[in-house]
Amino acid sequence: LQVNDEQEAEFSAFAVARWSALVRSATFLGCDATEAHDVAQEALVRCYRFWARVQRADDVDAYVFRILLNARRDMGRRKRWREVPTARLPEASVPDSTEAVGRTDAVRRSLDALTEGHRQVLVLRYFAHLSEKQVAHALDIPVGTVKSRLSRALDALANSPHLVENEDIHQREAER
Amino acid sequence: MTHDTEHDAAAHLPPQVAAALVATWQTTPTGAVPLSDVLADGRRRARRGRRAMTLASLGVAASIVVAATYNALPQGDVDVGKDTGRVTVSPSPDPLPVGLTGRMFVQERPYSPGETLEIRWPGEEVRGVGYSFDRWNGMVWEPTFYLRSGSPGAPRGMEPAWWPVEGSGTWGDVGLGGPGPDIAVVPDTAKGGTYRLCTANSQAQSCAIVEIEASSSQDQSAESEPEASASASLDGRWRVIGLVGPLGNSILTGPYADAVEMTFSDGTMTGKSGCNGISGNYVLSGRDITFDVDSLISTTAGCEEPPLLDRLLDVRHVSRVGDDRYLHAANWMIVMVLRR
Repeated sequence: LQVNDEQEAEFSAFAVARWSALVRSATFLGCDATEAHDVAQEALVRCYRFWARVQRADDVDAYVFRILLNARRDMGRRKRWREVPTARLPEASVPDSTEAVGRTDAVRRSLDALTEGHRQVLVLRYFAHLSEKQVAHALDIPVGTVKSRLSRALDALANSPHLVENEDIHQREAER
Repeated sequence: MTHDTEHDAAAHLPPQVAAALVATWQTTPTGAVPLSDVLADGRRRARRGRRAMTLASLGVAASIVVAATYNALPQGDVDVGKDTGRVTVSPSPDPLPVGLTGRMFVQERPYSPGETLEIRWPGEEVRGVGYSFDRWNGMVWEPTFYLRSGSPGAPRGMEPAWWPVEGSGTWGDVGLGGPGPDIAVVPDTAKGGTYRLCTANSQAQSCAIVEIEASSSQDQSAESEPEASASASLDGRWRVIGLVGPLGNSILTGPYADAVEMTFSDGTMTGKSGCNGISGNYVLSGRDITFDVDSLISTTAGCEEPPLLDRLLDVRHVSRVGDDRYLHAANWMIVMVLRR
């Protein structure tokens, strides 16, 4: 369990390199901004605690994203009951353009329409850049299942009314 | 979608859909990696892990040994440390059957002495007609009766029968198949309480819990003999002295293990799960209890505390053993042990 200085330096480099992908993956998997940070941080803490095991893993990235999915599931279980009001205000959000807000909302709704399994495969494969084999390992499913889920997820996205509608808006704006 | 996989995905998506996805991904804010927090939390958890291992190796940490068996009530000698208030349940001389292979079901309801029991076998295991019927005396399962299943009205020797363990009786070497029901009779002299009905001459070892209502004559002496009972009032304040994870291991650990408590009153539960306050609503009916998921709330102070609310979601039954209360999952696995 003990992490020496050299291992800690390796872990730190790893954490810095993976942070953005972990947060964005958590977001695309359905977390809001705060949850995504919490899930990514929890995943890294678990990686740290079992760093030697992570390093020994056949495929570190597949292993780490598996930890991320587990962290999200565990934290989701804790979220099943509502939180109580707090006097602490959340961090101020960054103003965004209307276009970006609309696009982000459309993407989120289109992802929300996917099944959990399709969404996980899509995010890990095309956004976290895992190979099909790595995705299979991270989700503990056969590679064939990864392929079929990917295919269905892409079909669903291509025909998503949310994104098609968004596309129409862009076209109208371009025509003006 | 921006690396070597870009063309794979783009080939299946309208260009603007792919562009929207990539733009959203790239503009999703991530903030700076909270490295110092991650390292501090990781080191703290690593230290806690080492400390727990050290205490466990010295035999200091309180533990609960619960056989992860199906359809089983608690078994073992309960000891509460005077200083720590924690509970240790050590294996009793007559441990629960482990490695149960059969699936035996008896309808969950209070039974009366003399009433028939229908024992069903959804797995259609081949079984015999002999059963043991052990009474929970608050500490151990006490061998009390033997039962023979059979058909009411059948010839002598084939009809349902019972006899005390110190009495004489017999069952033939008969094998039964199919889903049942196999018919048995609750002994006329069975006192009120919780019983464990187990196969006694079957390859498929199975048990089921049977609650027996005290007869009116037994009620008169009930005050002088507190027993396991179906009527398990929860009103008042309780310390959680045992908390069992889904795998049967003790999860009442960590710095807040001694600070977990619940108070029940008129369908409302309040308490502490360690450093956080909790509350929620519950419905108690006889020995059945459920917590309303939507009503369960917790403050959100960040600390490592036992996952009390998580486990409350699995609670379906309550039983009384002496002055303690046991909360059970649907299959009667122990989830929590409560003490005043």
